[in-house]
This record gives sequence, structure tokens and C-alpha cells, in this order.
Amino acid sequence: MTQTVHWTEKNTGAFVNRLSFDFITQLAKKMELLPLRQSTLAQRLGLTEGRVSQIFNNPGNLTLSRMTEYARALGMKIAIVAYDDRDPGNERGPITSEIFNICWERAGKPLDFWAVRAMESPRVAVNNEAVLEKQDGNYKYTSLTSMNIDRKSGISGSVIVTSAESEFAVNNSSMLQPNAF
Amino acid sequence: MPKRRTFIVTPIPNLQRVTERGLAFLECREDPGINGRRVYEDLKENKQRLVRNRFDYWLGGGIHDQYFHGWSDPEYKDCFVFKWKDRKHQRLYGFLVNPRPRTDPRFQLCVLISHAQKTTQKTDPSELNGAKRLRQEPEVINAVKRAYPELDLN
Repeated sequence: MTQTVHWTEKNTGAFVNRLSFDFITQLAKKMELLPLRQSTLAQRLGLTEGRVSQIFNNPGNLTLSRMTEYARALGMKIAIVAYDDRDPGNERGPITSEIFNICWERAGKPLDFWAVRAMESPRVAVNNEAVLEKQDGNYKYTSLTSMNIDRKSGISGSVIVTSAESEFAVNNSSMLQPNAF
Repeated sequence: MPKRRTFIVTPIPNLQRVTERGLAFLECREDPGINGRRVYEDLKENKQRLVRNRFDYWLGGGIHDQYFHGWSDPEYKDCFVFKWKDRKHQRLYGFLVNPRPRTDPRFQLCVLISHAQKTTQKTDPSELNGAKRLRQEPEVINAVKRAYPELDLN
């Protein structure tokens, strides 16, 4: 089967049409969830119910201003996400806006960069003190290891690992992920 | 003796590319009722975009009954419809099938058959019965398998 490019690649209007559809789909789902009738939305927007129905049936190419008005009328906000999905020729088609929203919600709805940084997997500082002794011709390696786990990670306290002994060389990593333990 | 009908299944081009689902039209020169492809291709650009958006949404795994749905009635469990509104309610009826049960058991293909225009939301059971009957027709099954053969896993 020969697969050509996605239909939104035809021209900018086609891509905007898809964005408008994605946007209206999100609003339609929100209205279902609330629930809120199209007549109420029409009232809030100062439009006729027929016009709102028309927009929901065939959003066409919405402008950013219109999208913002509609979203705000439902108490929602709007974000423009530019992304690189390694499909420069647009053969697969755009990623539905809802996917980004789902990911944001699953990530705990971070509100700013601080919240995103706090969510990042915690890094553990490992301090290794080691003693290498020669006994009866063999090398004996003794380590006293302490780790400090960042409290922001949600893991409280610190972990002390003591007296790991080995007769072999041990690879010491200065930074370890907590799940390595 | 009834006239022999020849069926062709044509994948719909330029849609969202996914591995989980596929969308195609059933064609039959001898049956004017199998008109899904013709109606779709005759749509004006802005209306065709409306339908393509719905196709993409389904291909991508979206759920939205206002755009498309199947039936919970076991009688019509394999029937499927895409919907849009353009003054009247527009419908594209078809059926769901997995043409690759051996090599891709989760793959789901929607074969669209006929277009209907309505003034009410209610579904005409004759469309569903037609789709159901065609789904079981050996010539149609062969056409589906020709268009979507089992995967070569080697």
C-alpha cells in the first residue's frame, strides 16, 4: 500500500482546519462533562444557538481570538503547543490536541516550570569512602557509602549503606537513581 | 440466476497513519447502493475535511459518539457509522472486521459501504442489515483479505 502525506499537508488552511476540529472536540467533551447546553454557551458568547451549533458541526478555520473566546466562555484556557514528532514531511498526520492534555493531566497538571522540575525523578548523591587493604596476597575492598536523597522527590530521610565488602573491584557511580536500590 | 458482483476494498489515502486501525471503502460496480466512496469523493473540500477529521479521530483511538459509533445490540455489533451534519444528518455506514487474525489480532479495519442522508437522528435498520449481510459475503471477505493480507512476519 502506498502511503502519501497526510491531508493536512495540502496547505495551511487544511492544517488549521484540523486544529479547529481538535479544539471544538475538546470543548464539546467539556460541555458534555459539565454538562452545559449549547444554548447556554451561545448566551455567554452573545451568539445565536444556531451559530454555535454550526460551529460545533463544522468549525472550519477558527481564529485564535475566537478560540480564546470560546474557551474562556467555558472557564477554560488555551495553549498553543508546537512539537517535533520526527515526522517533518507530515506523513503520519498531526497529534490530536487531547493527547497533550491527557499527558498534562497525568503528570499532575503542573502549573509552571517549578512544578515540572519538582516532578523530575530524584537524584541521589552518593558519598563513597573506600578502604583498599592487601591481606594474604588478595585485595580487600571495604566501602562505607552514604546517600542523600533530595526531599523534594517525595522520598524522605536518607539511606545509609554500610560495610559492603568485596574482594573484587567495585564500580562506584557518583550519581545513582533511587530505583537502583 | 443472480448477477455476480465484484467487490474491491480500497484503503482511504492521506489519513492519520496508525498501525492499530485502518479505514477503507467497499466498491462494487454492479451495486449502486454501495456508494460510500463516490459520495465521499464528491464532497466539497470543506465538507471532506470535516469527514477526514472524524476518520482521523477514530483511527487515532478517539471516542466521541457525535462523530462515529458502533452498536451495542449484538445483532449489529460489527456495524459502524461515521456522522456529520450539513443541513441534514449525513451518515457513512460500514462494518468492522479484522482481516489479519493470525498475524495482527488487534488490528481493526472499518470498511465503509454506503451513504445516507436523514432528517432525524434515528438509524434506518436497512443500512445496518445491508452492512451486516455484506460483511458475511465470501466475495467481500476475499476483497478485504486482498487489500489487507496477513502480515509477513519474517
